[in-house]
Amino acid sequence: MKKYNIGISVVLILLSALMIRSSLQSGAAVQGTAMGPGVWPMILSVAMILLSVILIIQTLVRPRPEGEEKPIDFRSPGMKRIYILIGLLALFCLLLKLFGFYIAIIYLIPSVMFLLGERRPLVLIGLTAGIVVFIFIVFVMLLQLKMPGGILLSF
Amino acid sequence: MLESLISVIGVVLQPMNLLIMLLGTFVGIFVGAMPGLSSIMGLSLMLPLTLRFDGSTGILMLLGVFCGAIYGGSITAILVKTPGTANSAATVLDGYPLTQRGEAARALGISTFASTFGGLFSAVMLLWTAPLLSKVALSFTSPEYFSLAIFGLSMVTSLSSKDVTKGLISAVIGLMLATVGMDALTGAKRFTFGSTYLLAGIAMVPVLIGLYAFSQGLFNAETISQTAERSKAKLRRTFPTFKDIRTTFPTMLRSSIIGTLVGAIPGTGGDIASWLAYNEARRWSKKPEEFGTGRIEGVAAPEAANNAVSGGALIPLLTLGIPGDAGTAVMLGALMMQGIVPGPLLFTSEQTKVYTIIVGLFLANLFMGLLGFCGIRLFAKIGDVHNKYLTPIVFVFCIVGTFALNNSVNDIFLMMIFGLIAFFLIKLDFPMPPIILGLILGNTLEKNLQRALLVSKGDFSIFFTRPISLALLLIAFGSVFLPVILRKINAARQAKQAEKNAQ
Repeated sequence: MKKYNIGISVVLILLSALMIRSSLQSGAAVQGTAMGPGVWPMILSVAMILLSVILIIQTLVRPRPEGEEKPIDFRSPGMKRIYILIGLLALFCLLLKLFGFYIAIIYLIPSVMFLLGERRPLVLIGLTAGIVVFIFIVFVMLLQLKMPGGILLSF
Repeated sequence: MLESLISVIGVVLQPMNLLIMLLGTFVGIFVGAMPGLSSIMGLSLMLPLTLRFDGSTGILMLLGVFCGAIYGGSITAILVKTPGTANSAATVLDGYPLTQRGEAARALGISTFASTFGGLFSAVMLLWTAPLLSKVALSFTSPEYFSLAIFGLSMVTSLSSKDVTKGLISAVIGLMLATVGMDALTGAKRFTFGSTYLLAGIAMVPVLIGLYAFSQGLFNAETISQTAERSKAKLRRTFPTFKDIRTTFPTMLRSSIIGTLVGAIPGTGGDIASWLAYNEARRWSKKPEEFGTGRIEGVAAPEAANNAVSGGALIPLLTLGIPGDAGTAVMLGALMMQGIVPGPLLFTSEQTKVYTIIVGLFLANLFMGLLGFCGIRLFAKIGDVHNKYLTPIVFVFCIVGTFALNNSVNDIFLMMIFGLIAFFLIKLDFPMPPIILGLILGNTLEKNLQRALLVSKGDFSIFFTRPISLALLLIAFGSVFLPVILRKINAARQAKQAEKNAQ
């Protein structure tokens, strides 16, 4: 946990520093108000820097608990599944932009099921069709939601 | 009051409202009974859907989900030793041994009865106490509202996290997210990076769905097992016997009181209430040694308590605008989206809406009992659904639910980004409730800070010279250090015990 805590604290300190710089441009006080739009974000950024420093000190001072497991095992089979899933989701976003909701969702459902171990074609097709029909009846017909169309294809 | 109450009963009893509430309760029980889906996840996924209904119908549906999900968690806790939600962890202790003895139906029957009893009890308490508390809160002005928001945020932060520093960091992340967009008082653009999408600020629903539902989908995908736990219990009679009701009645009453009180303290929740009630039931029992081996009171106590939390948590929400737990934080967001601003003024300006919520809670608990007794055999099968089918369904609902809010594809991308961030933050022990509460309360905090400083001409002492504001800030300050102090006391006690044992 040690290096993760320090890593995330450093990221938060950097983000807060950027927020302070941007807040200074927003202005500390505006005519007629005691507090300009930049003050509150600045208070929060300073608080975040302080908390991150406390987390770093706490992590360095506190003894490491015996038998502590790695919070994230980047090489575990589970995490490898997550990397593939992130790739599948990124492709989904692209398909959503280009071809719209229906094509994107027809691709996403079976590919996630396949990734999670389902291999029977009938189940892959059947569940995908079932979910799409359900969404169409409940959201499109009953709740009158218009699903997003794509740049290349819109229906 | 009586007139408003009667007119509200008429509205709530309209067939469409009843049907929607029944559907909400059904979805709630389904979500609660399914290990891997949480009540907050159910609420966040249903929230955009409820916004498409007119008037109070959407709120009634959310109340159904809220109550149903708490109860649903007990079903798999009893049948397969896997609590559907953290609220039902204590139910496993005596619920599962009863199933092993072939008394699953008896355990489920009393769990349904106790859940309904606890929920109805807390709804009555809400009706009784909320108007009284709101009268006290009517004297609140900007400094008190600011301190109140700090108080709510600090309680949730200190009680929901293993590490207070990480809890506080989460709260500040939420508050920082709330600063994106246009400043309420001056109209200045902040952190929009020239994007028109960010001008209106970061919407709560995509963040909520990302943090609670999408991240959970990722966790399910990571830890997927190839076999699902299946229940083999045979369920015949599901209504408890008169003898069981009589035996457990004092436990149910005591646990309902505990649940309502715990629920009313911001930051606590069903899990704390159910453990407290379970321990009290064991302490008051004539045979405490039999707890853990299949005592029926061991099922009644946590179930009555965790359902009583629902009404208790609505007390600070409706009277002060401070949510009692993450579930009520979603309710707060839903109410605000419907144009209802919870707080003391709600009881004078929007009395009908308040009573709709209270009557709705009462009816949702009745539906929960009804569905529980009639549909227990169906709900018992829910835990059998494998994660490889459930996970893509969760993703699809996250996507459709997020899009339904504003018809915006950008919301979907935002939701996915937050889901991914939440996945890693949860792994590193950063709690999610303070982020969402910070995002919801951020504007209230800033607006009241600005107003108070405007009145005091920039003098910060205004927060410390008004007694209620000072008291709230002191409690907030104390609550942050309380877990640290408790840990020190515990360590000292253990050291003393070890010394005694050594002698």
